[in-house]
Amino acid sequence: MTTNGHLLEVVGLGKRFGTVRALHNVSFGVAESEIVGLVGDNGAGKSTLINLLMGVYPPSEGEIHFDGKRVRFASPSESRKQGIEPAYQHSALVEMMSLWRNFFLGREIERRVGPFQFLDRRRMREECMRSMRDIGVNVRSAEEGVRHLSGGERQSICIGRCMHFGAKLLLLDEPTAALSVRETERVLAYARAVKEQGISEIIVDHNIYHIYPVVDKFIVLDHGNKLAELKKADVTPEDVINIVRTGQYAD
Amino acid sequence: MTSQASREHDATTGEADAGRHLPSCVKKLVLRPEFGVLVGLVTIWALFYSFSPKFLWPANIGNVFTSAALMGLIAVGMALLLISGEFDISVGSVYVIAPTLMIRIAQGLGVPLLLSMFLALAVVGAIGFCNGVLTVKLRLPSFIVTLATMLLLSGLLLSVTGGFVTEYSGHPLLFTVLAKRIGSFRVSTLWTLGIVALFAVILDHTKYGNWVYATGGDVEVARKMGIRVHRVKITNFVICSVLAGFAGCLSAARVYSVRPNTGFDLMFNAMAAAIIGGCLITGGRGSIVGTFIGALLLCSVSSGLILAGASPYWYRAFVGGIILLVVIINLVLMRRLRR
Repeated sequence: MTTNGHLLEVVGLGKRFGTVRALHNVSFGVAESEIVGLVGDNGAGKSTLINLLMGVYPPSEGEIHFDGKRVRFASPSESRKQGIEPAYQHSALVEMMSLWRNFFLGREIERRVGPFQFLDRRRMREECMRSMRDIGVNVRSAEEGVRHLSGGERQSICIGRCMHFGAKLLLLDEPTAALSVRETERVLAYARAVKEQGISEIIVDHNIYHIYPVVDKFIVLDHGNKLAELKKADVTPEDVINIVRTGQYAD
Repeated sequence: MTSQASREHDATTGEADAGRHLPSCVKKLVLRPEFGVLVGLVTIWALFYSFSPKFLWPANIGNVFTSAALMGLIAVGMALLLISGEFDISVGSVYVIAPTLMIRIAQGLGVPLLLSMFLALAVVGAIGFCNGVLTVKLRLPSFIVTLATMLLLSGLLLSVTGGFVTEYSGHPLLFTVLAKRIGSFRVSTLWTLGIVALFAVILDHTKYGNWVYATGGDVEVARKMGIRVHRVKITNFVICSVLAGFAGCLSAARVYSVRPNTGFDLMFNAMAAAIIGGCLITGGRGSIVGTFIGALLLCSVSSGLILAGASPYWYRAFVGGIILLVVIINLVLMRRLRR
């Protein structure tokens, strides 16, 4: 079920914080298994847009349509239930917690003992390890603390989690920031694998060269407005960087 | 990359290479957060035993457990709250207010004692709720909020009681059930052990416990993962307050009276017990069982110093020393983790 063939359709979306207009009249669509690169300089409104999609706060104006119906997310747990999943290397995992506790955070598997519900730790550990093996992340045990893992491994865990729980739209925030060249390549390979499973993605990144090979189109934000929507086939990375840098776009 | 990660892992658990040759069950035990404080307790017991064999006599151990039951109960609530990233210094006032209310409602209004205890616990639960709401909704630091409630409540209590002891006359069944002496021990110890077990299970084996860890570990991540972090924190404020109030009732059931100025020291000691027991003051990590062992350790020190003939005034200095030691060890561990 889609709107105009789009999994996600954003119409006239805006957000004000007091007198500050963080986002104004932004409209775009994300098709099924499409990867959108969301770019723009600092303060362009990228994080605001992502937070609106996640339900961190409600929009001041405009509509979000997801999976064929209008949605109003009161909280991140609602957007997660609908299938919008964040995969942030720095802000989607609790460092002090073990891998399995993170993997199932907010979606714990329980078993009933009499009138009580307890965590089914064994099943969660097993499913977590299976999922890690499936995406090719090498961890010693599900008890391992997330703080011991590299940025790329964390990112992969988030991606594995999204696939495990059947997400439809994956939000990646600066997925390649502070990663080694090899790790960047791996994360981008995961991004492609996710797409092949029919999952859509929005990738926020400063490094346009990094994400250029995987995205299908770019959306450029500037001072809270949508400046441009560019099919990758029509532009070079340099074109995109130029638009971001100058804040000018002539059709 | 992997080898570096594994080296860090070993450094953080403090086992380095020694751990590799141990059987896995021993290793598991050593890796538990309660292990450090347990070693501390055994060491201190051995130390005091060598000064005075009386230390391990049932009469003395019974006394240690009786006082640890009160301190431990407050500390367990505090631990839960600390793990979720907040703390409550008003528990000292709450510890006195709950039993004062219980006795005054029962004797002044003729309400059955059990019912008046529940009323008193409901009142302190409401106090915890207010602390929680003020902290999370107005985004005030819990230190400031609960400092204010502590002073407000203890001022209120002192002006109502005039600073006098509130006594209960009679021998109610409730007090027997709460704190009757059996040999060298008291029933209150059983109540505390039961509550310790309950919250240990909740923290490590339920969904709620997972949310508590996550909320204290990284509140933004927890929120993004759909955890209702405000609700978790407020719930823990309420639990912390009710447990402190119940500790006050256990104490009143033992001595049939409440002194209005007893809670302050206990609050600091309970917080010390939680920290010694492995709770990080910044949240995200801790242990309920460890916290209770921490309370046992502190109460052992207090009683051991007396038996060893040392001035009990040394107790505070001793506790201060232990806290510093623990915090330094934690800090060193955390720095290693970040590297």
